[in-house]
Amino acid sequence: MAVRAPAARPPAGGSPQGRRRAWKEGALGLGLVLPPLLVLVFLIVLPAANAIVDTLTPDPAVKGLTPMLYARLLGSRIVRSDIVFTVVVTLVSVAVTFGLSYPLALYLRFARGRLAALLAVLFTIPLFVPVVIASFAMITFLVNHGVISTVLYRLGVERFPPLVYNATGIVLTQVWASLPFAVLILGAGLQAIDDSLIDGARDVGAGRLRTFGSIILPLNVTPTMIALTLLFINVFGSFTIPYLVGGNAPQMLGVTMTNYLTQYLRRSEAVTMAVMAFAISAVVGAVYVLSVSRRERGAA
Amino acid sequence: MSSLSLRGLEKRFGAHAAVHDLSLEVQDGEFMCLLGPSGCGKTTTLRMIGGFETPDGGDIRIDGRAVTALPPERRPTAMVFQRYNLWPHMSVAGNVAFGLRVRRLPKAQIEAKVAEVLALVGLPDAAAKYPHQLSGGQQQRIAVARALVLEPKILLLDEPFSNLDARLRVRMREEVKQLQRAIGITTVFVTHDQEEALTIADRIAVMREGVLEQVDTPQRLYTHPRTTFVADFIGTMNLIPARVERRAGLVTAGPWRLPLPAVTWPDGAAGTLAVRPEDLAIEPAGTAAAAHVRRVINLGHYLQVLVDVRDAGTLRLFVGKEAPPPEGATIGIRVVRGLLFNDGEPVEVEGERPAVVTRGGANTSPATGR
Amino acid sequence: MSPGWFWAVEGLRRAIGLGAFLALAAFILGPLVTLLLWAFAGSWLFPNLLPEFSLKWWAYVLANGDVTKAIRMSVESAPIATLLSALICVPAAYAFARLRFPGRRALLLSFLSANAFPKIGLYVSIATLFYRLNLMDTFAGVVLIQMVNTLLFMIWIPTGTFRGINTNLEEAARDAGAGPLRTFFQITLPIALPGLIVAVLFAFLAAFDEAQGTLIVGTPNHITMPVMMYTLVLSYPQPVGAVFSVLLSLPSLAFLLVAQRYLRAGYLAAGYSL
Repeated sequence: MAVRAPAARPPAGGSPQGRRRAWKEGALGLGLVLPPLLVLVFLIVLPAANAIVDTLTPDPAVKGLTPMLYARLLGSRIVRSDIVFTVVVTLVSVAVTFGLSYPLALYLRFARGRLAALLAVLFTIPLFVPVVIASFAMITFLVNHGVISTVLYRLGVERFPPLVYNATGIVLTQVWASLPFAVLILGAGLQAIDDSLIDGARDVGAGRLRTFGSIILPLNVTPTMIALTLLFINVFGSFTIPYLVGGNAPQMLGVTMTNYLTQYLRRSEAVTMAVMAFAISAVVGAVYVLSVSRRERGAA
Repeated sequence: MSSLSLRGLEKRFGAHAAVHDLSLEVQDGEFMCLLGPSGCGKTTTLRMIGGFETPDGGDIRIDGRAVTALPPERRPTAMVFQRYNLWPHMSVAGNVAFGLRVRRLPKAQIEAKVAEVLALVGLPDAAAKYPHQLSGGQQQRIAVARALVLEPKILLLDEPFSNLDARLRVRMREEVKQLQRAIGITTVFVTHDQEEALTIADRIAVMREGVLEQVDTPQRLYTHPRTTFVADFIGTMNLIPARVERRAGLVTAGPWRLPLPAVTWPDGAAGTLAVRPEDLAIEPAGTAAAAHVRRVINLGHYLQVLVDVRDAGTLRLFVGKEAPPPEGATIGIRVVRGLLFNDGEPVEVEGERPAVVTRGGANTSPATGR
Repeated sequence: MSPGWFWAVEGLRRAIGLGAFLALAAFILGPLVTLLLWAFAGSWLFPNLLPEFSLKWWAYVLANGDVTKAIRMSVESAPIATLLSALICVPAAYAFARLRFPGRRALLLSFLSANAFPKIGLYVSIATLFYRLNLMDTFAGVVLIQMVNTLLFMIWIPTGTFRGINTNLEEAARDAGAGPLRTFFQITLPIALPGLIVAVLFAFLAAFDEAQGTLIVGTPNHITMPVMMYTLVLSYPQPVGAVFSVLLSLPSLAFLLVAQRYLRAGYLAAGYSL
């Protein structure tokens, strides 16, 4: 039963069995991940890369990469106004959705009772409604001589601004469709904040607003960033909602590029717009990826 | 009935050595505890025995046969984890029978074995229940049953009762000990609770930071710890800085001067005197080193007295409840015996004999032979 | 738990809460109820609050050959896309959750990052690739487009599910003598089943409801129900679109009922919090 003093440094290298096991595990892991990875590459990476290269080499006569197509598209006033329109509508939709969903998520986190339970079911409903149907339902609801219009008329309000076939309709429908998503992500983040952290703040005298600002908001930053960036990307790149509910001009980029592809048959311009949309989203997407990777590191 | 032999085990996680050069022999039928603070490598060692971690060096033999290369499903070991033992989607009978089914035993035999082992752990009627219907203690009992039904050569337990409340914990470890005695299976039990280890182990392996400090019976660990860490970890211990005074033939520790035992330590060498609380005796004030009573804790059948002694810090004594010293008073404390630690093996030190008051009133301590 | 601490004055807060709830309910349910009414409307004249009821548009829609073709296309393609995704993604999810291999974090991130691109842009790019590969207006093309949406769900949610299963449970099976494969099928998979079902549900709905990509890739001969909706909404009387909407909602409704059990915040949120 000799007693040894702790050694200064452990010897380097593992045992042969250990190394073999690690190698086998690594190979198995990569092998299992390969099939969906290949599909991902084929369906997303390849087309995207293809698209980018194609748009930079539109003219076989011109050697090398040229931003010709981009210049031409950005030169078009219609396309420029579409881009601006898309960004504005997206920002407004995200803001409204966020403004509605955060209080909702907070309420669901802290409230008990029947109302909260009902609310918990209510807000998930749009998740189960396909976007096409949601758009159509919104149209019938908001259109002139639709339900809202009828109710307001009955209440004596005869005139009010049009709610569909314009940006307002798009925003309202986007908010309707995005709400459950945002509440879920924010809610999951709030759920992760232990009650004791909040009780502790209350215990030292912090009021509701103070607790929200100093404790809840900072601790919920990562889900907030994830929610905001995903919302942005979803709305920015949407097609169905602006296609059905939006007006004729200006249009959101998703509609513009689809029309160029399927109606005007100007494939390269369509793809160029797609790449521009990628680029704008990539910036926002980088924020998303950073937030997710921070969370991954925490979870791993 | 099997023996377990660990030789030179190494395990690293990144640059950190979780287990370093660990060698241990567990005898056939022995109940061995791996004891140490969190992070000392005891669970890692257990998991290496069970096959859930691959050692980076060294080997493991069961009955002389090397098992280091075998995956968990082929080792003759059975493990009871701290939590998440039972599969929630299977009944208790399903849980216990799983390993038997893997071995393709005939159905009738499986049923008989399951019934037998459930009776053994005191839960004969639990077969049709599901884990979520059982209490924590019952779940752990079923986990033990599941391990035993496979008749393993080595039973491994990883702090199985840490998640249970205190009284249940005490009861469960008694049951496991009795079970182990009855069956005679070689067992390795990991715990961080030294009281638990002292109660149930045949021998205890004390670990710290990946290294084995001492392996011994509970009794010897208590009376003859080999390092200050073990001395402090097992039971309660008072540690007092000490110094050798060769020319005076003394060891000074705090206010006490004790006869220097036969050692070759140079003059002025510094060490530590370890004294058990029951080895400190209360003397009338003035006849021994002065101590200020800070607190008296009444534990029903004995008293713990906390005292402040100059140059020795706060010490703890265990005394009988007959004459409790008042809090705030000054009393005398005498060292009955202690262990002196320097480098290498500790040495026993006998204390001064109680002072004798001569007729003249002067207080002379008889020099112990010098 | 501190119920109600968030609301200081009980009565007033209650009233505001109720009001907000009703407003939200009207916002969310209103459009759906309206659509439902339209589905059973013979005609609905302004400013009546309710239509005249009739089932005549149902007969109209169900008699339409194109409609039945679209229904068949949806019912055939979505399950296949979901099944294929499940087959290749669930083992991968297990690998992401349990195994250590080089690039694990980067690869998982890359799956999640595919979400970072606007879908319509992707479909447009995929279309040009499909033109070259002769996959336009084919069944396979439609299935592949649907898989773009299912892939994410079938990696995301199962990875979280597998991660949530304590490794002790699997180690205990190995300890009892089960090899890795038996452990996966008899222990891990059954315990993971609720989470996997939620993933399949979401994946199926994503495939079934996919419209934008199929509009580009499946026209004109391989049209699914959601794509048909575009035409119906734009070019037909409102009741026609409404009837078709009800038809299109049926799978979602069915799943909603089935999924009630599994739709605890944990599972949904686990999927979204990854």
